[in-house]
Amino acid sequence: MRDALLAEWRASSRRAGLSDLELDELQDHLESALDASLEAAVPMPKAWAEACARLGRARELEAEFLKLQPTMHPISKLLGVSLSVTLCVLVASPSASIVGLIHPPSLLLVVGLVTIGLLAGHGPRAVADALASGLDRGARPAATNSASQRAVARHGHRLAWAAGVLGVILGTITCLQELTDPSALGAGLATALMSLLYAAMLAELGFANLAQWLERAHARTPAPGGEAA
Amino acid sequence: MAAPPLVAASTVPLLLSLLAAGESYGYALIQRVQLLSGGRLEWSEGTLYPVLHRLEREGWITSRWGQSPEGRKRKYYTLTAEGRRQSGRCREDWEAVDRALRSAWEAALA
Repeated sequence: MRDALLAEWRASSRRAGLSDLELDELQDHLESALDASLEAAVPMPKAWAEACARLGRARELEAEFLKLQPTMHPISKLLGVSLSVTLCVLVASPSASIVGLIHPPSLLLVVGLVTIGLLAGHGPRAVADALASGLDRGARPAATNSASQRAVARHGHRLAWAAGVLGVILGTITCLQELTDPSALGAGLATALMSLLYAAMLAELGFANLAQWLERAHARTPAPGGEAA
Repeated sequence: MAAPPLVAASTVPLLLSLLAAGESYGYALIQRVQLLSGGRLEWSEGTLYPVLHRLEREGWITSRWGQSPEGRKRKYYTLTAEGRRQSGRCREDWEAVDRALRSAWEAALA
């Protein structure tokens, strides 16, 4: 019964985002509390419920581990917002053009917004660590950075889609401004469609892939001297 | 039960002081602080580990994986030289607060 409960607890905690190294440490705590209750003649179901309640829910624990990420100075965040607004203004220019599949304004909008958002939210070191993990598939992410690296990947996925939607909105606005001149509609339409294309590629081929790899890498990271879960 | 802001403020000084006495692990640290405070200081168990990890990242403590007497994997924490220096600074600060409070209470009773 105990092993089954522990296996279920580990599985649900892993789904909530905790790594195996974090779970190994928490499991020792959980079992120590459980043993103390059992020694005091508390029945197993009650002892288990109390030990779990004291330790906290998996998502709350994950949130606490995520708080370990470095926070950025307010001036950096302000700079990020200013740069984002500047990008939007640049892209909204009706002089934008389409050259094959490369559309610099859309590319600049999507990549620029995602980069600024990640740097402002997580700091250069966490972003560099996450991207380095993604590029070097043979390496295992450091346990102490696990939560921050996964947060960068998840945030990057959301930011990419948000940048794509923003590109669609800005492109549509440009189109609506040029309704009287059909020859000028192309620029706005290009921004809208190309932004969405770049966003989809960056979110699904880039960040979703990175997040999935990080999750798998953490799931197989063994504790020093121990075996992988 | 002590007020949450006081519990939060005293967490790092207490952790450093407890580890200054020797190597320990999460569950034992919580039990020890409950015992020392007569149950008035109760740490949130889910938040202790992130604090320990932060102190480790700052180089104030180090950790190693070992085995409990029951055979489980257990992570033990030890104070570093820098942690010992920080512990000394914390002690000076808290002693200053303690002296100021005692003086204020004595003046109020006089």
